Amino acid sequence: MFEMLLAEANNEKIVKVIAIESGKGAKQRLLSLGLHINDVVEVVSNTRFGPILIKNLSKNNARIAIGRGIAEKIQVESVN
Amino acid sequence: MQELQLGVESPKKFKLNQSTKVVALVGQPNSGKSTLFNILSDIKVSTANFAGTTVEYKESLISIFGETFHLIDLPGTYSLNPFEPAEHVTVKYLLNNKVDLIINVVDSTLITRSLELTTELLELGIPFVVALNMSDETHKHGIDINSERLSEILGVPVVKISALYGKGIHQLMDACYEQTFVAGNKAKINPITFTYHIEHWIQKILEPAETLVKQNKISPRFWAIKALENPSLVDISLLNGLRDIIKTAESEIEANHRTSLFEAIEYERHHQSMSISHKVTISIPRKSIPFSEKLDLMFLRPRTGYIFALFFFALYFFLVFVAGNFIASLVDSPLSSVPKFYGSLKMHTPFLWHTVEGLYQGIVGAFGIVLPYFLPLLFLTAILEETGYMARIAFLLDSVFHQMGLHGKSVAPFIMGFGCIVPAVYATRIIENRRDRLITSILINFIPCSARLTVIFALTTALTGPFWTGVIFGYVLFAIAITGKIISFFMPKPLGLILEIPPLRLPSMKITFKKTYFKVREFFKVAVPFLILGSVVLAWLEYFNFTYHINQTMRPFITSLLGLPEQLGSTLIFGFLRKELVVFMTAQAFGVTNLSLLPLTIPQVVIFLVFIIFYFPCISTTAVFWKEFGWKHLLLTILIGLCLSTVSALLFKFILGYFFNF
Repeated sequence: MFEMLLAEANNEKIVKVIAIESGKGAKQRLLSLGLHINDVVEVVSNTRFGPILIKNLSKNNARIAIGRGIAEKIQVESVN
Repeated sequence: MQELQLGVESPKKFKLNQSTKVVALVGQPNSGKSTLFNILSDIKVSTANFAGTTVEYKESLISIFGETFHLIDLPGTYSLNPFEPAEHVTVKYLLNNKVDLIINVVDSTLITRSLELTTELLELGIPFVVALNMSDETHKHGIDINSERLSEILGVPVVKISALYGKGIHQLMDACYEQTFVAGNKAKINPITFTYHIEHWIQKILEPAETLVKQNKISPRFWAIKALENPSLVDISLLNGLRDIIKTAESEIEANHRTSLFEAIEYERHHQSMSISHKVTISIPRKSIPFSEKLDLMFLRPRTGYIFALFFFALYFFLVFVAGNFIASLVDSPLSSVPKFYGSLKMHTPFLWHTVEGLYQGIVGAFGIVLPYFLPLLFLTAILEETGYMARIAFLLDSVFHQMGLHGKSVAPFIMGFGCIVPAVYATRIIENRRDRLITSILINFIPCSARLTVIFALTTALTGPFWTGVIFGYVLFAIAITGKIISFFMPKPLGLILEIPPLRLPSMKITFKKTYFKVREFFKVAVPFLILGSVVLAWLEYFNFTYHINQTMRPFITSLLGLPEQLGSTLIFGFLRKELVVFMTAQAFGVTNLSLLPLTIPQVVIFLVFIIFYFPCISTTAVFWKEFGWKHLLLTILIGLCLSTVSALLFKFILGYFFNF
């Protein structure tokens, strides 16, 4: 088990969402797009600049693009 | 069959008798709601594979087994806690209008997430049918849905359909009819119950709410939950002491569960929908990853994505150019044979000749210059939206837009802006944050739209050559970025990008054609009358020699400050009507028939062009802007435009004066 930020996770890494520490607006938006705590997500594209693309494995693989600033406030842990 | 499109705030325009049943289509973005609406109503409205296309709601009268239903397609929303302006439309409608039946359109391939909206909608207590759309695609995604089991759990009919291929529509209509007329109030809907620590607060509000909301025909339970979860959506002042109850509830949840009341309710709904989803879906082994997903990965990963994006945009503009030239050549010869029919009027009745000539020039402008390029542009943009590629572009360009203080969601309005600013202004409605929306709307005003491109290309091709086309184009994009940076400096920090990336889909040609048709029709309704009228007014002004007076008034600015010939003063007035009028006006002002004969130097052309691009939005954009954002915002935009155009023109005068000794 290793804690890190979503923004730091490499491509193809599978992680579990531990906490979402972003502002209220972003948090609500993530919730309504189906990203919740304990969801297992795969990082599809993360290039150290620009947004991060994730695939929510807990929600039928729905894909969400998340801006880097917000991804830096999402704590995740490694599952593989 | 009647068809009508309504604005966000405009009142219902159908004259309905009380017995007409209202059916609302509600679903998450990209659930295929609009496609289903098209099938049910047999009229095609915009459908797209990019989050948030139905920004206004569309309505239609349909007939099921002889009964007339009033069908409403509400904008896609992820939940009933609205975020984007378009989502507000949906929630407001459901809170304030009589709805007899909800058809909840669900993307079957995203059932787990979609059920969260479904469970929330069930709280409304309205007769309900779930349409499991795209049910033919679930196996490809490795899931199988037991619709009978889902129907048992929710207490409402669940029908598997495929709106795109017209499957299951008959069963859906059966279910709708049954729910509205047979089951009616006896329908046994099972809204989810919350755990005690939330449920007891709902019960506390429920009883007083019951008397309060009875006349509104909204479920008191829905009202009570919303009062706790999102008090801004309901009028909590209606109930004495409600504010205090909410406050106590909030602090109790905060103390015991270390989370906000909003989140606590949201998470319970989430867990319930997860557990329902587990009960009704079976994972089936997936065959190998389909080619479309591998291709999509190449579109999305920056290293290959930028190359594809560049290629697609080069192709996009190349196709617009080739198709545009082809269409223009088709309409050119019939149009150019017209003037000889009224040429004789010039001698005997010059006023009439000017009027007819004005009309003719307006029609040439619409059919010969704008339409040939507009048509392929709209068609290709529709394809980009239909396939979902627009969302990929938003993802890729997010970091570029960050440089302007914006993010990827502003990409779609920007790209549309290259076609026309008017639809681009409407496209800003998908931007949830007011700050981002305002900055985007100001900036898209300066994008070289098809009309401005016409002016740039016409004048540079005739007078300066392609090098200066490139310089002007590059400067315009640079100026937009700088302006964005300056405006966002004075604004609070942006929220950032959160955007769903829907799967790539093959575009349906039928829908793409219909979509293009609707946009072209819109163009003819909104813009063409202005074009023709403006052209006639211009001809009259010329007849009465009014342009002379305009030129004299503008002279200090045009000639003394910018160093341009005074004849150009009047063209600015008509550029306000429609930008491409500037080209005819300039030719007319100097009395030349061929643009290459214009007595303008290269610096003058460049200065004139940078000024004309920024100085003022066209009349259609102005009208839309006023309606959309109010006059204060319009004035601010115009002011920024005037500053930008003057600064840019002076900048070029200074720099070019150095190189050209001018």
